[in-house]
Amino acid sequence: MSKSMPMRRSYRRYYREFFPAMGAYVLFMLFAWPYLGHVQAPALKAVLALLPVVPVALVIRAMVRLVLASDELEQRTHLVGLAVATAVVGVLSLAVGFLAAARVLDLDGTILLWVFPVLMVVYAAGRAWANRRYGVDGFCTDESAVRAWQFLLAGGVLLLVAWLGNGHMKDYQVGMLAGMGCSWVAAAGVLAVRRWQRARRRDAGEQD
Amino acid sequence: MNNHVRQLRSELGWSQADLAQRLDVSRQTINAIETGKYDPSLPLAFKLARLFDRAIETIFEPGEE
Repeated sequence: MSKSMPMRRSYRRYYREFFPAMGAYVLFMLFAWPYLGHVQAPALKAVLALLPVVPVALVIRAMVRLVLASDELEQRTHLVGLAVATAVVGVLSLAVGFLAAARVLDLDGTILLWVFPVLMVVYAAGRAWANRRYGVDGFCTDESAVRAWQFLLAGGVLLLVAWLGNGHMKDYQVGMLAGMGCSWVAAAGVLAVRRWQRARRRDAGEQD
Repeated sequence: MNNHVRQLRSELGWSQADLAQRLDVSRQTINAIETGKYDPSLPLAFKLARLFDRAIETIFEPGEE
């Protein structure tokens, strides 16, 4: 058998479920959400406002299915990541909530939109920390791998949309797309270098 | 805990990926077991023992506390 391992079925299913749902969310937020202000009927407004929750729920479903199909070490690192995220977001929410209650901060309900993204970022950081403890390079595992060229392609598409939308879209939308595109291109570079380093180590016989 | 997984795997001429596929775990998990960074659960240890056709205590032994 070859040294490289094909992506496991659970990960293939995860990416098959994750990317379309995330794509639908991004498209909705970029192209449909800005028109919400023009809708007058409260019922229709509520339905439109709740629509982005559907793809996010599908993303969460994909993540749950992935965790359930993970092996025992992966499940342990997921647990550490979730524990860290729960603790950090819980303490942050309490702190911000108390500051708002004391009228030190003037916040409205839209602050709640940040809870899920912050949870995901801290979860990823917590899992990366747990992975390091077990000697796992979480950024370029065999299965969790989105290939460098896929990052590059996604980044290129985002930059192209930003360039085409310049003048038609609002500045913050163009800026967000350009920022995301640059991040993905940078991630492709980091991923390519890490994989090259790992391949070199493997060729030198350090891994197997 | 110390183990002889790497040695037994090498004797069979398997790569980490080969062993991972046979056990339905990630290659990183095999690497963590071999380097002693992770001690497998009993079910996984028994799967390893069955695969290597050995008694579990000949593969895993207590390390220094």
